[in-house]
Amino acid sequence: MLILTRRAGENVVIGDDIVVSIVEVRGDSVRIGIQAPRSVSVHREEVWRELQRANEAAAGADDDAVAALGAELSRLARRERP
Amino acid sequence: MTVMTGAEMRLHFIEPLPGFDNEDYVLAPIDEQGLLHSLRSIEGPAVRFVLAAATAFFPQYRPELADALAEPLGSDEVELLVILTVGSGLQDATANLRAPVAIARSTSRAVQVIIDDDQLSMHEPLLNQ
Repeated sequence: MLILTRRAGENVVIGDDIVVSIVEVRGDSVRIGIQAPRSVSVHREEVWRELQRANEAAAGADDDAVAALGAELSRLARRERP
Repeated sequence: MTVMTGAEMRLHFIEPLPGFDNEDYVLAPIDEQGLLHSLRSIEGPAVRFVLAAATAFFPQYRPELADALAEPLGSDEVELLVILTVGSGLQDATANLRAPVAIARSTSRAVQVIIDDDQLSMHEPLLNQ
């Protein structure tokens, strides 16, 4: 890991086409701007990790569960249209 | 072996769903109205999601999608589905509104997008809002 010191208004260049700008430093928070090609996805780490967990929790639907959902949905639809 | 019906379609994810390596899935409607869909990995059929048509369940849901989406998906006509986490059934199912799946049927491409709005939940109750 490279550790370096930057001031507000200064940038870091990563490779040919990624620029990280330090926009503002206030107290213990730093606002940064990131310019990157569309093929590079940029996310807050905690959101990314939460999404991985949410996807993993959602991934195990089996045939029985899917059939039960279909049946439950048609029961609900019938109830709403008496 | 799943029999392909006309309503089923293959989807290629231009980026894998976070947490998974699989990129190619079959999207199949669960009900006739197309409210719920099954999304099953072709490479690993045990990986299977249940998705819901976003606006059918959440009429107010209009997330701001990056304009950049049309180009990688190859189409302006993008449909939003949300991934459900299903416990014992629809009554306790939750929807991931923070990271919907955008699909372009005309190009069979899809991507899961993270909306930059921390008011949106990854576990929003599907019913009883």
